[in-house]
Parts: sequence; C-alpha cells; structure tokens
Amino acid sequence: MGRYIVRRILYMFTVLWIVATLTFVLMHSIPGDPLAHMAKNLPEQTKKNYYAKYGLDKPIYIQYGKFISQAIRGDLGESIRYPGRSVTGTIKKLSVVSGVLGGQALFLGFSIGIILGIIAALNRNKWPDYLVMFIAILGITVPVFVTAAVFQYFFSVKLPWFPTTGWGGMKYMVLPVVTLCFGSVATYARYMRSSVLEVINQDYILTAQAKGVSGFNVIRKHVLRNAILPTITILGPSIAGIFVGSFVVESIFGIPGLGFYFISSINDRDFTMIMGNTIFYTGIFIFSLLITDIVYSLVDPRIRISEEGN
Amino acid sequence: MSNSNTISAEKFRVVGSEDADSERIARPQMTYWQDAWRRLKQNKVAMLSIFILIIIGVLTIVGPYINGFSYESMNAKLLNQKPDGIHWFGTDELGRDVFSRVWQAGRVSIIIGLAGAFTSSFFGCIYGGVAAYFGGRVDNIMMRIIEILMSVPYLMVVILISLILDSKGLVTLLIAMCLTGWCGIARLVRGQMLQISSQEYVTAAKALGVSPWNIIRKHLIPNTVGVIIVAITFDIPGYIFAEAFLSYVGLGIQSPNTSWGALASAAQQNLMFYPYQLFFPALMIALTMLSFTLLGDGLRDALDPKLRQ
Amino acid sequence: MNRILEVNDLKVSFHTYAGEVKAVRGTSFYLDEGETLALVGESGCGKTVTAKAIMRMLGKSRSEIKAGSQVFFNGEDVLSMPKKRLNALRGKDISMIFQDPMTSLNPTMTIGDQIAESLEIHKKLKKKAAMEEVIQLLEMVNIPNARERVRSYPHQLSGGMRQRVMIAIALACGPKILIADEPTTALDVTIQAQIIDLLKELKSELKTAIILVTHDLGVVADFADRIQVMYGGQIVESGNKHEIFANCQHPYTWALMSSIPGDEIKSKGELYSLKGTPPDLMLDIPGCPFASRCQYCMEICKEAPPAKTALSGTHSVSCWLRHELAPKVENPLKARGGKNE
Repeated sequence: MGRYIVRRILYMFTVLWIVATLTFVLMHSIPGDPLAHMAKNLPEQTKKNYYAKYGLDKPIYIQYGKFISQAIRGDLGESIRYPGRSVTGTIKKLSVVSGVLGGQALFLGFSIGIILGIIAALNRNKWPDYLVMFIAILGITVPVFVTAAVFQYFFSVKLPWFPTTGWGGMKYMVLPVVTLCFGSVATYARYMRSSVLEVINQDYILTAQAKGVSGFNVIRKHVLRNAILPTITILGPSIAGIFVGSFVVESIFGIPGLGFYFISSINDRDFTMIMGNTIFYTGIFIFSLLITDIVYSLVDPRIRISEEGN
Repeated sequence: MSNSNTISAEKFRVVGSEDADSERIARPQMTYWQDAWRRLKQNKVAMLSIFILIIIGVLTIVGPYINGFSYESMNAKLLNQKPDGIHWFGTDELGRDVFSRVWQAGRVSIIIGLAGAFTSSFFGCIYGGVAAYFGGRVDNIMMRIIEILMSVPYLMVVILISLILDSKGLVTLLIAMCLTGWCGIARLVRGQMLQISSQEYVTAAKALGVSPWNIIRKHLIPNTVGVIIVAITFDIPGYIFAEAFLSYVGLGIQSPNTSWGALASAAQQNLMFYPYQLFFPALMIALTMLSFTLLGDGLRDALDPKLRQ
Repeated sequence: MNRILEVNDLKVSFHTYAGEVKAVRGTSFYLDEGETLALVGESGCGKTVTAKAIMRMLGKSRSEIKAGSQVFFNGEDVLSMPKKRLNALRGKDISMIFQDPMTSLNPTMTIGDQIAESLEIHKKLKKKAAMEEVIQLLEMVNIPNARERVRSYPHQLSGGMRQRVMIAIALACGPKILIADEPTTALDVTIQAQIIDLLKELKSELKTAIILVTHDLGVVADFADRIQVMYGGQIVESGNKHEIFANCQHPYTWALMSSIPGDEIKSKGELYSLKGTPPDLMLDIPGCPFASRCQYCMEICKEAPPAKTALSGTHSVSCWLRHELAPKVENPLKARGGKNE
C-alpha cells in the first residue's frame, strides 16, 4: 500500500512538472511577446528595465530554469498587470474564499446527489425516479451561467431574499453554493442511480434476501456499500467541474475568489497570473485524483487486501 | 379431459417429430441494428429528443428568414423591445430582432457542436484504435500521454489555447476545443477494442484462421461503432457548452458573427431589465443540450448488446 | 412420513416487453421430511423458477405467480404470508443456495459477517456469540483454519470454498428444507464431488430435506431419493430413484437417459443426442410440450395435454402413450441392454 502511494505521488509531481513546462512553452510562443503591448509606449530605458526585471532579455532556457526553480520554491512570479503583486500571494489569499465556496458545493453536491440517486433507483420508473432524473438532466444540460442568472434573478431581484452580489456571511453564500452544487448533484444522482440499479441485480442481493434479511437492511448493508464505491471514482472530474463552475459563479455573484480573478486576468491578458493559476488548478486537480485513487483502494476490500499479498 | 370413447383411434397413430418442426425458429430474426432501432423507437423520450432536434435544426436553417428581419439590421427606434407580435423574441440593445439573431446564432453553435464532436472523435478513434491494435509498450506510452493531457481540466486548456491563438474565428475555436477533446473518445475506443479482443468469439475467430484485417473489420469495428455513436452524441452538447462558456468569458465568437453563448453573454448585463434577451438563447442552449443528452441515453440503451432481447 | 412441503398447480409467468412468458405451467409436487427431491431438466424448462417460487424469490417487478397456485410449508400458506413472516421463514425454515459461488457473496463483507447475519436475524444472537457459532459452522463445512478465515473476504476464497460458505449460511439456522439451485454447475468436477459429499453428510446429520435443481443426471443418481423430470414448464414424469433409472416411462426421460454415454464409448459408436430445441414459452402449447421433439409423437399429442397416470404409489408419468388406445412402446433403454441399476 505504501509503495503504491509513493509511486503515485512521484507520478503526480512528474505530471505537474510536465504541465508547468508546457504552460511555459505555450506562453512564450505567443506571437508578439505578452509584454509588448504593456511596454509599447514606454521610453527605451524603462522598457529595458522592464524586460530585465521580468528576465525577458535572457535566452529562453535561462528563463525556463528561473521559472522552474522559482516554481519549486512556490514562487510563481509577479502579476504583469499589477506589478508588485505576487502571483502566489494572490492565489493563497483568494483560494480561501474559493475553497469555502467550492468545498461546500462539493459536499452538498455529493450528499444530496447520492441520496437522490438512491431514491430514484429504488423507485425505478415511478414518479420519484422521473422527478430526480428530470432535476439531474437539468443540472447537466443547463449551462452554469444560465442557472446562476436565473437564481440571481428570481431569488435576489424578484424576491429579495438574498443579496445579489458580495461576500461576507451566511446569506451571501446561499445562492452561489446552490448554483455551484447543482451540477454535482446532477452528476452524482445519475451515477449513483445506475450504480444502485446495477448492484440490485447482483446475485449476492438474492443471497441476502434468501437469508431473510429485511428489505431495509438489504439496501443498507448490501446494496449501498457496494453501490457507493464507483461514485468515489468520479470525485476527480466533479472537482474539475466545480472549478470551472466557480469561474462563472464568482463572476456573476461578485465573489472575490480565485475564479473571479482568473477570469479577470484572462480579460487583462495578465499572463503570469494565468500561468500561475493554471498550474495551481492543475495541481489541485491531480492531487484530488491521487486522493480519490487512494481512498478507493482503501475502501474496496478487493483492492486493499490483494495489495497486501494474498 | 375427454374420455377414451370420444377420441378416435386415428389419433393414436405415431407420426414422430419432423426435424423441421423441432428446429423451427419461433420468432423472426433481427439484426443488431434492426433490434437497436426498434428499441430506440420504443423509447419515447429519445424519439421526442430527435423530434426537437430536427425542429431546431430546421429553424436554424430557415429561422433567420422567417419574420423578415435580418439578424444584423439595427433599428434605433426599437431598442430593447419586449417580445410582441412583430418581434417575436423582442429586440436587443441595438434594435436587432432577437428571433432572427437566435436562429442565426444557432447555426454557429450547432456547427461548432457537430464539427467539434466529429473531428475530435475522428482523431480519438484512430488514436485509440492504434493503441489497442499494437498493445504492449506502444499502448502504454500512448495512454500515458493521454493521462497527462487529461490532467489539466479541459476548459482550462481551451481557455489557454484560445488565448494563445488569439484570433477568435471559428477555426481557431475548433482547434482549441479539439486539441484535448479527443482524449475521452480515444480512451473509450481503446478500452472497448481491448475488451472485445479478449472476448471468446474473437479467440474463436482467430482459431478459425480469420485474418487480422477481417477480425478488425467484422468483429472489432462493428462492436465499437455503437459505443462511438453514443460518445459522439454525448460530446456534442459538451462542445456547445464549451463554446458558450468561452463566449461568456469573452474568448468565443466575435461580432458580427454570433452564437448562443455570445448572445447569452451579452444579455447578462441587462438581465434585470430585459430578462427575455437571456432567456431565449439560454433556452435554446439548454434545449439542444438536453435533447442530445437524452438521445445519447436512449442510444446507449438501444445499442447495448447485453440488453438485447 | 411428515409432509413438509406441498405445491399445487404452481403457475408462474414473466411479463416481458415481447409478451407473457409462461415459464411454469401447473406443477404439483410434495416433499417429505429429510428426503432429497431432484428437479431435473434442460435449461429453460422451469425448474429454477419453480424452486425460487417456493420462497417467493422471483422478484416482484416482472414475475407473477398466478392465482390458483398454492405452496404450503408445514400447512402454512407461503404465497399469502405477510412480509415479516416470509422473512422469518427465509433462512430459518427454508434456505437456498445458488449456482454461481463467485457472484453470490457480498464482496464488501467478510464471510464471517455474512454467515453471522443469518444468526443475528433468526436466532437473535449478538455479534460475539454469533462469531463462535460461525466458526463452528465453517468447521462443519470443512473450511480449514476457520478461526482466521472468519475475517476473510469472498475474493480471497476459491470457488469451492465460497460454495461451502454458501452452504454454511444456508444451514446456519437449521432449516427444514434446503433448496440447492444447480450448486455444482459452476465448479470443476473434483470440487463438485466434494460439495455433493458435503451435502450428503450434512443432510444425514441435520435431517434437512433437500430440493436439488440440476441438469446433471450423474449428481442425481448419487444423491436423490425422488426425481421429477420437467419439460416446457411442466412435470412430465416423477418417481423414486429406482423407478426412474430402471424403468422410466416418458419419451423425454428416455432421451435424457440415452444421452448418458454408455457402451458406445467402448464400441466407439455415435453418442445419442436429442434433436431440436425447447418450445417457446410465450406461446400456448395445446398439447404435450414434448410433442415437437418426440419420436413417438401421435396426432393426439399435438392437440391435447396428456393426463397424469399413476404407475405406482410414487411413480407417475404424463404421456399419451399410457392411453389404452396408444401403441405399446418398449422402453428403448431396456432394448439397448440394461441401463444403470
């Protein structure tokens, strides 16, 4: 087990390094350097200083070396748009907000989704199933900026229950979290539903019934334990979905989080910021994939025990 | 039970069984595709989706011409009108007819969806097929590459590439979206082919001396086509959404060309006052994505050989 | 002899998208305390459905046990029992083991817990007390290192061992009837023998009656007291072991017996195989279900179902050849020269 984890962590860092390199290469292959339009109107000397500061006068492999060595130490450079503002610092500050928002959305999405999926599966082809599936379909197909706009319109403008934008207390969190978790609820509900339906048709469920186990306990002890396993595997992708959703939700609800900043840095063409963010998000994504794998191998006895050699 | 008096002795003459009788197949045979189509037809939701998609498709072709207003012509006197008898979907902030704009935009969105899905699927299939065919080291390396490419959340890649390529045309948009979009299908195709090659009917074919080419042609491909069709159907709404998202972020289709995403994005500002401007493009996006997703569900059920009856 | 199970006119149908499949078409039989009854027939003849129907294990959604069917366990009407009583019956009065041991155990529960579950429900034992009994049960089914094995998961056990665990689960509460649905079909031959031996041993120790569903006549010869041959959803012949093996009277039973390789092996002759396929159970079969494949088929066979004729107190057959107007047909097995004893 331990060996497996170590291998996976090494793998994760390798991938992260590759992604960082690729990002670096991409950013520097932009026709016309990114600073050109910032430095266009500066006098020659200032431009030279500017270039020197950002190391743009050095050969590319030196720039790369600097980039990597800084990145390893956690320094992702300075914002181009707002010189003096450290990328890492900004990320650290803003990710707290996004973390709170995303974390709640993920938690709610997972729990509500799983429960709805179970209800749908157990009432297959009856009205609860159709209702849950309808909600799930909406969650998947309606783009997040539409749901955000709709919620904002109805629950903030038409019915002034919640503040429209801003961040600061419970009431600011409700609409954004609900909007953000909508997609996850849908994904987990659909997935759990099909997982439960598959498990219910297994032979060991028949064995449990033949033992005289009550319907409720068959669901609780036999169906659920097995049905929930596969849903762990989609945690990774659903986290990615939450990232993407957060870009929109934070923008619409005016939440000072990393997503909002990422969007504005795109609009500003603030390349160091964009690069830094990309690496950060990728890192979290890969990390969550790693965690998911580990959790899954711990929870499924077939993997956990055969690893220990049997 | 009749008593012996009423049954004539005639009936007790032995006639034996006719081989034809016993080997007679009770019900007509159906090919895989016929059976799949039959199952799909039974699925009312899927049929409804097809119907809706056809209507949307037709409207995107003829819609911009129906009510006489061009999607571009501005009318300064009729800014931000609510939907009424003349302007069925109202007008936007430049006085343009929203109805025509929605259908004009639809052309772009749907073309992007279809083109994106088919292009990336094409490359994905080839990549996956090659990986599955060669197996071993080659397969390993190819799959590792995919794993790395998939480590970055898809939409981030799209955003980055769009930024780098910097021109907002249709082609660059497609390039950005397809650059990593083929990974999902590649994995799927490879997985399916590997699974099929390990099935016993393929081993049987090999044992009978069927050539590799024929095995690919007659066993691997037909059994993978179903999975590919379903994957493409699910991909299309993904691409439509990606384009809408990009437009929302400011990286998508630029004026004067428009897409549903661009329309929604522009309408965002005016949401409070003129919600209908967001409503119609958003509705179209949702409806199209919904129909493709439901159709994909239906196709998957219809094409699953295990559910075959 | 104590009659513990009585099944009368059991009819079971499945409602599929293509129509109603009448899988069991009126079977009636009984089971006495301590005896082993074998239900024999090819795939699709309705034997598994019959067995599952006894415990109402068919899955409510698509199946229907038709009105008029009766199942009595010790005089109690099983088909109309309330759920609570049914759950108390399952696992304690009547148990079942299934065909494929590889998929019949919950992969996320230890085998100890799975056996203990039965004890906890029916004997109301707490975990600890149950565990002691579980270990004894594992020893009873000949699983070595029972004390450690209790904490194993199913995937750590071989097929044969898993089937033993299934048997332990089934017999944990000392049921009066054990229904074994093709318990050895998925195992290799040597393991098959071990399992059958185990069942024989346990049966004589615990005095459990067994309903053995199988298509393997070899297993039947070794183990069963009485045999019922099913075809097309109906019982075509039933009798005790001696009657069936030495003097069977139904053309289908003849075909089954003829399929057992005998002297052809020595003389390198052709093996016998019955031509044709079983009938489509969605259709109504006006006459005898075996008519289309029977070499003695008569006009009447295609038109009306034969009556059940009692050849002795225990031996009965449903065949038009029994009718007084029918030609006398010699048991072809006798002609071949003495089948099994």
